[in-house]
Amino acid sequence: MSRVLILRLGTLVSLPISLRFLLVAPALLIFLAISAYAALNIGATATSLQDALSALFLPLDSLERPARAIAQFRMPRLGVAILAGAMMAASGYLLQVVSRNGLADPGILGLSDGAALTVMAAGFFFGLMPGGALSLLALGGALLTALVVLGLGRHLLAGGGIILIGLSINIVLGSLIEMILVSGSAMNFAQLMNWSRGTLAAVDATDLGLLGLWFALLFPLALLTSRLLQPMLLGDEPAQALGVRARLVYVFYVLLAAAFAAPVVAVCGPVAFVGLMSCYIARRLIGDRPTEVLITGMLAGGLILLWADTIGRSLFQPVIISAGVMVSVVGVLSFILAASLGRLQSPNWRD
Amino acid sequence: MKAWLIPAPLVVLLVLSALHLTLGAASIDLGVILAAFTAYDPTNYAHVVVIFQRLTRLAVALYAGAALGVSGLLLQKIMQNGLVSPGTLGINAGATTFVVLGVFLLGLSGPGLFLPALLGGIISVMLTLLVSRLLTGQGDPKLNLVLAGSMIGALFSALTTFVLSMDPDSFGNIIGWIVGDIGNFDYQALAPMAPIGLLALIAAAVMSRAVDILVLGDEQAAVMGVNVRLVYGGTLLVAIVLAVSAVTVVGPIGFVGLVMPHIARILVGEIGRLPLWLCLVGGAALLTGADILARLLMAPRVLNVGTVMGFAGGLVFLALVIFGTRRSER
Repeated sequence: MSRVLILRLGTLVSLPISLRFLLVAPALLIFLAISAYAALNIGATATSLQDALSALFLPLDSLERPARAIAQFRMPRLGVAILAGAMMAASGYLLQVVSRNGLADPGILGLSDGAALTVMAAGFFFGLMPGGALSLLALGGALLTALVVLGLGRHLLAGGGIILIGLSINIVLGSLIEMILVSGSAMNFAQLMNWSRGTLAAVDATDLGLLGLWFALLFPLALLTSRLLQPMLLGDEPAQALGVRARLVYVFYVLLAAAFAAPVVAVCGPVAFVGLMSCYIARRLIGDRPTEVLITGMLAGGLILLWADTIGRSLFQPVIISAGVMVSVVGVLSFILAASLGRLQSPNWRD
Repeated sequence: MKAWLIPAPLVVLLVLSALHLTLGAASIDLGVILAAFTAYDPTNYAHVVVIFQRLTRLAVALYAGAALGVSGLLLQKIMQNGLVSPGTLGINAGATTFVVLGVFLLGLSGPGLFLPALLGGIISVMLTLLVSRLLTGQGDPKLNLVLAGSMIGALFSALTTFVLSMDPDSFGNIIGWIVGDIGNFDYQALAPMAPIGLLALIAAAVMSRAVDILVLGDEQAAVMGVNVRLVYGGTLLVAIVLAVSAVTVVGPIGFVGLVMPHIARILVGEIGRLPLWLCLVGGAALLTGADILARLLMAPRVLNVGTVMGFAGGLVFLALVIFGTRRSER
């Protein structure tokens, strides 16, 4: 166990913080800021620091052309990438805790596809909808799928069981999505195939606002309740022995995980594997203290999606590879690595 | 030996085939269909539909279903794992990626795509086996094999999307193929594939006895004079060739190979050549049935067979995962 500092404010607040977290989290934050600046710069035209700063802080109408372009196109895309990555990471971590399986991820367990299905079905039956309504619908779909998968997989938590249940639910939902695709002829199939893997090509400032709103709502909630995560890691009975109402907390975390994933799916499609990768990295970096893993994982998730998107849109110019595809490729490889190293089954992750 | 099981699936298949030709956006009488076969009249629109749209579709469904069914049986037998199939081992996805690459890099088309597809199938199986070996020691090894297959499948399907996004316009023709749709011109690829498939089937029938002995376990089989490596590798190759030949014709269609062996096992167990026969005829019947549904469910729009099979097969797969593991726990 690494060294722990205890932050005390009066008699009410006493926060244990591990030294590692104090080193890692700010480092990741700084790296994220540098990456964000670099991502602003990479692209068809280079940007100056001054333009970037004025795009960030001045109102849109007062801007000149280069700064204006940054504010309208690159900034929202950047923000969405970071927020979406962080939210997927949070969702993934919560799912990993409730399923007690280090391979869980909203994409793998089918939450993303459930959300995508409701979004597409809504688009099919009711036409275009505003983003806010879409993300509520997506939440419904994600939540329902999560409850089905976790309900069916209650006895198969260890190892691959629940993952395979998630994957087969994924297949069923995927074919339902395809049925909708076939019926709605107007939409371009290739484009939707790209969306169905997650893409950031079409995001704008409204999307960023939507994600930001959800994030501002959910993140404090997750932080405030994160001390309940530790007993949940031990299993239902030990948690109850510690005075936690395990059933209630379980449902609450599933709801929270679905709420983190749903708006992301509504905005940029189901991005799989981010949760898996970032939480794996976070645990490798700082160990197993839930609150710290959650925060570190979210930082890592933001970084991963930001870089996936930036590399995807600049590596093979003028061809743009969607962030989701990049993440999937890297994600599968890290899944294999993670599973083979067996580090996921650290003492807390037992059945 | 249940002798009635030899002709019975054929009867089912014949009935389904007749239904397949009759039903559709416009139903055509059986008499007209017979007339189209015996006295073909190119000016009669119904005759043209029967011969050039439905019969070609039926032939493709029959071939792909039979090939995938047998392939699944062989895989489940040699790996002794009821969750294995061309789809769940990643063979379909790997073949798809290499076909798309073949189209993109080499400008191949039609039967010329068989070789890249075969390469893709072999590579994906090797990767899956490799990854499942990395996973050993954690959880159920049977589930791990399928988990590895799913991950390799996900990897290859992401690569497929990647290649597609390099130049979306040039892949307009191939989109239907990628989602496992039986197109009107798929039968053109069927003619060169059929001999390959037939050879593989004969090989499967010849090796059937050795495979049965292999099921007893490697050491037992070796004691009884079976060259374990040769039979295992040979059967694996035959299974891959069968699956890939089907993929080359219609595109990746999952779950025929997963579901059919289970039905055969319930009826006759898995020893001998009878299950092989059941999977051959039954697979063809299953895919024909799925194609009928694909054309009827949302008529006049036509769904993809792959979609229908994915929906039904995904549910069966789910049930297999849940009940299969529960049984092994007891």
